[in-house]
Amino acid sequence: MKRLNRIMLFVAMSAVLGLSGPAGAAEPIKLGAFFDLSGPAAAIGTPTKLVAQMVVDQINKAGGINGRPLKLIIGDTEGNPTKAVMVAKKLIEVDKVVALIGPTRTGTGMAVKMKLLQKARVPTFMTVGGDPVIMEGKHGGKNFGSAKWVFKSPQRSSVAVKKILGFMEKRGIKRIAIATCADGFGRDGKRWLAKLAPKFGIEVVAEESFQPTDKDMTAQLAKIKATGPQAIVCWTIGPAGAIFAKNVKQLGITIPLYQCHGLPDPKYIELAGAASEGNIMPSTKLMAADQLPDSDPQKAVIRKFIHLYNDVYHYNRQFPINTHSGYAWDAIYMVANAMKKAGTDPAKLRDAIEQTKDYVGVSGIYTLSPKDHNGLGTDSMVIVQIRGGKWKLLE
Amino acid sequence: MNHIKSIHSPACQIGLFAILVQGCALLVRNSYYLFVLNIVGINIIVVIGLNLLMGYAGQISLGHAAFYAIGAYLSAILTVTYGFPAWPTLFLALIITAGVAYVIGIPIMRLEGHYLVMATLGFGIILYIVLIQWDDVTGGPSGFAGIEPLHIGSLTFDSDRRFCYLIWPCVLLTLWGSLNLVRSRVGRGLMALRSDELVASCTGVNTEGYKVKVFVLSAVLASLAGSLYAHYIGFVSPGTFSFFYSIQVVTMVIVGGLGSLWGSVLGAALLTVLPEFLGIFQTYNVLMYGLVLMVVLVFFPEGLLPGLWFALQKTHRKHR
Repeated sequence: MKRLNRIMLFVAMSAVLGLSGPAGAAEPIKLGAFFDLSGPAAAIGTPTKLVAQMVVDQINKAGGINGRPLKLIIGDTEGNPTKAVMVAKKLIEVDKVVALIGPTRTGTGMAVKMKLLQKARVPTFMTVGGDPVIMEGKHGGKNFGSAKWVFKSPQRSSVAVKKILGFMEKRGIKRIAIATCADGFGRDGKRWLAKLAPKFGIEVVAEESFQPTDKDMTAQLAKIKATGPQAIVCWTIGPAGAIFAKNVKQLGITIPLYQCHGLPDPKYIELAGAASEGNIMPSTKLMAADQLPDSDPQKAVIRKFIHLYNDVYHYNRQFPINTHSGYAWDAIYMVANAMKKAGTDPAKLRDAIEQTKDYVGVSGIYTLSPKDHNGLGTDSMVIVQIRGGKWKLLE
Repeated sequence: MNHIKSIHSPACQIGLFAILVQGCALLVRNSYYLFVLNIVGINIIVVIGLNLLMGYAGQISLGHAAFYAIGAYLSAILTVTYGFPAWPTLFLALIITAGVAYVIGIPIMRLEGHYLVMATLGFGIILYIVLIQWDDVTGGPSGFAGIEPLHIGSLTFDSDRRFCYLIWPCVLLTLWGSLNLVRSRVGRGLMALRSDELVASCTGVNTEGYKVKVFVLSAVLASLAGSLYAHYIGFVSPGTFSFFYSIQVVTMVIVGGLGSLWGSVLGAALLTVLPEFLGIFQTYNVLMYGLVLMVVLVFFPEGLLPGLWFALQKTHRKHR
């Protein structure tokens, strides 16, 4: 009986060791990815998920992380903050992922940051547009907590604003009118435009706003026209921007229309049609890849991305490439590069991500630091103009 | 016969349920499951309140996310921006919500059928727009962060397990109070109101007063859930309180069974947990979710719990 017990103990112990110990070099490293796969922002979240799968595929084909393959575990936030926290918690606690990629929007990103990432030690690379996720401490009476474990790959709104204003300064524009959407994104743009314009010697002569669901902005444009600006800046994502462009043409306004960095998307040209002709906007280099000079360090990686996206995985059949397509690519590659250096220990991995320097990505050349968890400046963007339904690189 | 009767008394049922929940909470080691359990608890409070309105008074509200939001945002804004203490703020939020529900309840409860649905829907959407637009106060679309957890003395409900010991007593109290309410004279009056308003008023039920009062009670419960949610997550944003949440809680009431409070517990638990298990279907999880809802409503149109109960009795009779 004693012997039997001993054998049992041996079997049990080896089973425990087998489960917890490193079971050979091929054990996959788990990476959690959660996006808006259903709900209002599914059209942004779904292509992000596809790109994430593509990147992990590529990394594994190239030998994985120091011989270990990456395994992507996907969750759906449904665009709901509570659900996003639930999904992230499951990825962290049940699936034991090493790092998180996502979510898609600022509201869900903030819920995850405030509920989970103040205590849980999991490096999270977000693909959200808003800056609050990487803001720290108190701003205007509101507490943004700690962003120690949070990074984000899309450019800050202020970077896009500086890019536009810098370009206008060079063109000798002194008086502008701004029309911004009354949502979070539009208001962010308005705040930065009003704050930064004087630094570029530009005066804002009119400030108008519209709702994301408005079907006509001629009233706002009539007011803008009366103030006699040299250019109009419109700040919105989605169909409202196309309606605005159409209204500009209908009113016979001939001064240039500048759109924000959210609109470089084939969908915009499709919606605005002929009214998009001549529009100027800041964009990631992705939209003007073929026109980049050969000396541009990003050209090779962007070409590779477009080739894989369009010709190998054929995602373009459903989701044509737009200015945002590369964010998941950059987020995952930066996490993967850090893993190659520092392994999978959460604290070491976080430090390694923070030390990312001169990573050449699709959306820019990233240099992160403890103070900057985004790592992109105005040089990561280009100015493009729509000519004949195509994106023409201006600067 | 006495022992059978005692099983049917609310206190006994709730005692058994409390033991069940406590068992779950103790057995569960992983904080993810505790988190799900807590969210189930929060939803149950809202759904019970809504079921009192829908199942007993026969009034449909598609604006309950708004009352949930009022509780959450009042707790958030008053404690963070103005430094109010958390517990008094929670009760203040309940009182303010009651006031709001009373003021809008008087005209709204005069409406019937589709018009009532439209009015509550409108209220929900108006409040949602206010949350987004008034960003100096509410934080706008990016939300409102930094809400401290609740505490009693030195006990802070900051972990998932500790919050479990806060939310579930609230759930059980809500359930106990509601079960007793529907067994009282008021409850019978409400049921009479639901079957036929004219007959109810002829037999001396103050139909209008009852409707408004149930509406207020229902709103207050949603507000309570909202305040607890805000202190638990530490962050609120309009996305949580959109029209879809209103739809979700109405679905929970209907799936669980109109007029069945235990059904509401089941409905809220099932529809909160179900999407978590449907993850294995990956892309098709939304499809499966819809399928499950359809099957429930086709085969148990009176709701899951009453339907199952009925089926059980039927087979029992056959065997005899």
